Amino acid sequence: MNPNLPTLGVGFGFRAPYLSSLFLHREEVDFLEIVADHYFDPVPEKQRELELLADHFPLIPHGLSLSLGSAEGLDKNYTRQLVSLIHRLKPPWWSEHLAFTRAGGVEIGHLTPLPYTWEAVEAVCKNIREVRSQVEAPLLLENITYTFRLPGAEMTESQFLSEILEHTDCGLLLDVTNLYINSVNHGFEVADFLNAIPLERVVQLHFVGGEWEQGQLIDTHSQPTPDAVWEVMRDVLRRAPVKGVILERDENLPPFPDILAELTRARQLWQGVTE
Amino acid sequence: MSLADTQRLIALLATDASLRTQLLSDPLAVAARYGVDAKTAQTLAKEIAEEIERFARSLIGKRRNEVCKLLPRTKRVLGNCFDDLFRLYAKTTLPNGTKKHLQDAVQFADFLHTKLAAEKQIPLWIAELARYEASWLEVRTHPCLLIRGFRALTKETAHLEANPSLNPALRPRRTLALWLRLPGKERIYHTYLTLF
Repeated sequence: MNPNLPTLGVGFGFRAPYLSSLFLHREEVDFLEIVADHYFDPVPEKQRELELLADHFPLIPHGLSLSLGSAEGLDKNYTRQLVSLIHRLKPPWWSEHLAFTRAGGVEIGHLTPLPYTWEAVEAVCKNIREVRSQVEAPLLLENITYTFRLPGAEMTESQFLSEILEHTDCGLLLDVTNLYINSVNHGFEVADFLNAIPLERVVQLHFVGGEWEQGQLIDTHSQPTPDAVWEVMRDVLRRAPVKGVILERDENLPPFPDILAELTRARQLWQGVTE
Repeated sequence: MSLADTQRLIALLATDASLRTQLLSDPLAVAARYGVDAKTAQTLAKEIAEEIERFARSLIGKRRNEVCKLLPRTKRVLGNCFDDLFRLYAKTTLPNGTKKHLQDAVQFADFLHTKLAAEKQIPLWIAELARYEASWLEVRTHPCLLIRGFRALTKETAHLEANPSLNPALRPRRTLALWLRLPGKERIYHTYLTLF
């Protein structure tokens, strides 16, 4: 993992309704993360939007459907479009989820957990090798939330993640909300997880708030960040060489000042632990 | 059981409600049908069937949220019925590709029109409003000339957002609508002609 990645600061996952507000508050957002899939084969207005954003902000492409965990390999068409976008933007890094979204000709449309097995480790590493042979920019892997764990596990989630990071020399996009949600739903300690993963590989963080639904905490990206997640973030910022922090709000979009308030809080938190 | 077989079965379970039901009632039949060992099928049924059901529901919820954003007028006129009708539709379709949400919205509008309105489960003007909204999405995605006929679309329906108090069902009209978008251009030319 390249230790000389630039520090990008604090930003948010770009969503089109915020376009005009974003430019009114240009100085309060350090960088943006864009959903890569939204700019594949873009219509002219999306192309123009991408160019506008790229002219004013560092952009980090974030993939949703590369399906790095698919045993059947990568989808060539999706990979080609993703690689083309990354080549166009020349970002300092890009990111994808540690999950599968496609199998047996079925596109699930959702990040689906992998079994924590050596066979899955090998499948992910093979797919990562393939995509990295086409892209120079460093790849960050993101931890997902999961409502179920597949039977037959040969290791814990933290071991699974660590094995893949070490074998592929990838960075980690640690979603502190996902980590917190999994710890609540599956009954483990956040601290144990953090102690078991290579924190020196953490490059970027995601944070947002979820919702309770039928006794489970769900990663809906629809609420302000809860205090418990801020606490996890504080701990990670203190211990890991983080280069960028992204608020990832997708649903129930609040007025832009609420987004800015969360970015300010993240910035203050970060400054507080590094002073 | 290989990783590929596990993933194929999970993908099918996540997207096929009837297979989830069958897994619960007869895991051995599912095992035989998909080349899965009996123990794995029984473990899936016993330990994580409920969680996979929850996962499948959240998948449909995610699709619904995206379609709501793409068909806001349809969502507004259907109100609380939107969710139920979308669930009904989502059982039968699974969009794919990088434009899957657009595809989902267009197919949902088509479902409202060709199935639910045809069976008189919803008023025709609501289905036509959805079809009208979806037509904009189609032209935005693929430059083309699109001409559509409507039996209950009125000026009021088309501009419902600006006139929320109007009840378009009171004044059905036969209308011809036209959209034109040239390749590489952003502008969409649109007009409609109320016939009678």
